[in-house]
Amino acid sequence: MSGSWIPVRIETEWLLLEAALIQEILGTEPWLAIPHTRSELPGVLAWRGRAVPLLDLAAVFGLSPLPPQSYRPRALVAQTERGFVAIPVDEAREVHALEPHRIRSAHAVEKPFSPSEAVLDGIVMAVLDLSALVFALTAGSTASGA
Amino acid sequence: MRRTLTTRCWLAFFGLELLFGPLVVVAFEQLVGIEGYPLAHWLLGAAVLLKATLWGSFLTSQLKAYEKFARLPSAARSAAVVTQADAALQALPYRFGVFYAFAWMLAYGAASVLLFSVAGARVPVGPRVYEAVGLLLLGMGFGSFAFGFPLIGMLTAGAASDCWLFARKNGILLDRAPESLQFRIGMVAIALALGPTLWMAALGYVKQVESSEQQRTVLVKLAAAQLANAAHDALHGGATAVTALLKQRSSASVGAFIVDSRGAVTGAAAGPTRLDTDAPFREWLGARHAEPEAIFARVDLDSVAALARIDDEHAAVAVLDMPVAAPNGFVLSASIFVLVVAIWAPVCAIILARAISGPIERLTRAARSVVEDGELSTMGTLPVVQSDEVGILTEKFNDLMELMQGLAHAANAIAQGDLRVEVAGTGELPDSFRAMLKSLREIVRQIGETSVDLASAAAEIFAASQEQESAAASQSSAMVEISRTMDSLSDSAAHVSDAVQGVLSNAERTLKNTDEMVQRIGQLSSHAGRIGEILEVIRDIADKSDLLALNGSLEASRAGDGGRGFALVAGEMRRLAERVTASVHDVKKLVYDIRESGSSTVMATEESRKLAEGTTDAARQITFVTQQQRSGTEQVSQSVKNIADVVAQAVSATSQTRTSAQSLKTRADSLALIVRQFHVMKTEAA
Repeated sequence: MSGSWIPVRIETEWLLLEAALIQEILGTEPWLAIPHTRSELPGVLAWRGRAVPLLDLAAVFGLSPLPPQSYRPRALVAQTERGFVAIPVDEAREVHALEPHRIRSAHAVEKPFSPSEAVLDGIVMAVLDLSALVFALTAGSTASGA
Repeated sequence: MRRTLTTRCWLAFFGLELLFGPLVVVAFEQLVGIEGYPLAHWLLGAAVLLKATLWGSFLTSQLKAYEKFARLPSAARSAAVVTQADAALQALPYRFGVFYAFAWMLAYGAASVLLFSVAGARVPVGPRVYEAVGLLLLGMGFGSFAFGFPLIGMLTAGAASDCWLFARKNGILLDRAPESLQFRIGMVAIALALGPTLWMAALGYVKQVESSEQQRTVLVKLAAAQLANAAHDALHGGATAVTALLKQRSSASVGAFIVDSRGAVTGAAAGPTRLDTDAPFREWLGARHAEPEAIFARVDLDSVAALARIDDEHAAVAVLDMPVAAPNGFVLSASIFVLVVAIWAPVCAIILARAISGPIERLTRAARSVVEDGELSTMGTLPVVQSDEVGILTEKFNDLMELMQGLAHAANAIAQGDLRVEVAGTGELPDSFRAMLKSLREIVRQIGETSVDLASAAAEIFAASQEQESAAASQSSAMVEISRTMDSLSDSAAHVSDAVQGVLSNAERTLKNTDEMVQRIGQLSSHAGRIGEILEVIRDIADKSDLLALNGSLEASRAGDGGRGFALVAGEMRRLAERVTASVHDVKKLVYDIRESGSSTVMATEESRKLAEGTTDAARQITFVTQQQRSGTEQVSQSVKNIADVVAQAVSATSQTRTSAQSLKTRADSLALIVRQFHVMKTEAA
């Protein structure tokens, strides 16, 4: 795998998201919790006149899920095959172009939807397969706006 | 209306004028021989008026000083007024007596001169009248002095007494010259003797002159008649017979001649006859020659002429050249008589005055000896010469002296301390003496008893005052010590007060500084809050910059290689935003720390403020209490000083009391000794 990647941090976890999927990086945006949904998709976020499902990676990675009426400093709007999702993160960094050799398979504990990893700025970051994640989460349903 | 002294004197002398004036005028006219002439009445009446005017004016002027004295109220009478009034009254009898006599003499003398010189043609002037008038005037002078001098003295005696009493009552010294009663009596006696004597001498002189004149007239008429008788025959006998007759009839003093109707004179005288030289005599002879009367006489002062008709043609004339005069024997006798009276009267007056004033002088010397020298015990009994008023006065004076000697003896005995003496005699003075003696005995007895009680009481007071003085001295020392302690306490309180004042000042300054500090910290906190807001904006801007950088980076990545540079810029920009955010965070943390520190400082300052307030309140309370303590201490100190002063005064007073008590006891003992010197009757002493 090669290309441009955006490092994000959720609590203590650093992840690399594929920059081509990211449509826009938002600041602190309010979101609307939808009752009786999965914890990974707790609600929706208004973006450019459409309701974008909120993907809580903390819930995906076994961290503290984002409770309703709470926010993270950044929200990345990504477009997958299954539609747009908004991913709240605690920190996002600029796009990094990584040569393919810098991305290697995860040799330690494998994280969900992160078969590989890369070291950036001295930090081991899991490369998240966002499309696979979204697909997995939206299996049997369709993502909004797609 | 009350009459003044001048009015009374004037009325008295005017009454005398009314009584004696007409009599004297009549007597004067009779004596001089002018009683039948109205002009003489008028002139002498005017003389009386002139005399009254003169002495009235003089009396008024002399009594003016006394009238001023009498007119003023007692309070307004000065010493000068009193002395002047008294001096005028003292000199008045002599002055007025002399002036009164001269007024009489002047008035009648002036009237006589006017009468005889101016109106002599209408009033017959007898021969030698002037000498008689002169004697009369002298007699009038002495006579008027004889009653004017004593009468004015008698009239003004009451006024002189008033002046003397007023001066004595008011302590005014009167300047009265010593007078002699003998001199006054002698003057009056001389005047009394010489006045009537001179009057009688004038009367005798006039009568002698009248007798001489009658004698001259008779002699010359007789000579003329005898010549006429003899001449009748001689005329028939021829000229030789006539000449012989005339020679026979003529003498040294008598001239005889015959005159005919034509005026031819036949006389014995060889020279010119009186008809040749005396024209008035010649006219008189001519006029008489024609008259039918047989004999006429013409009287002159120096000669007398008589004409006796011989026949129808001839008349015999005799001229007697003999002046009218009193006989030399009478003048000599009268002069000797007047001289004898002038000598005899003063001698008699002096003898009389000495006879009267001698016993009075003895009385005066005795009274002066008693009053001025106090010689009462050596005073002998004055002799009583006669049982007249002076004798009775001497006798009563002797009785008075005996009484005074008895009283003096009693007083001397009392002075020697012998109160047992008895006072004899009756009257107010012995009664007063006896009452005084009785009171003195009672007083001495009471003083004796009182002196014993006084000595005892003085001894007790002395002992008590000694104890009191000792106690008061101890109290005084204690009070002085307390006063010193209170002064020290007051000084300490003053020091504490000053120190607390400093603490209070510092605490108040601290409180003020704390308040300022709180205010500054509040301002700092406010500024920190403001900084936080600004930091929040910066952080927001940094966040947005970071977001923009991220999105820029994202867009640059989409642009491929063309956006590589942009991606680098976006990356730098994001890191810059990140550092800004980190710095903002740090600054915010610092601001937070500052605010926290400010809050902590405010809290600490609040504590300090509370402490300062507490300190201030405590200092104020301490200051108040210290001031109260200081004031109280000072009051107590002052009170202690006052008490110390009072105690010191009490010590002094007690010391004085002790000294006085000691002196009192000494005096009481002396008094008891003195009282024991008095000899009081045993019954009264008991």
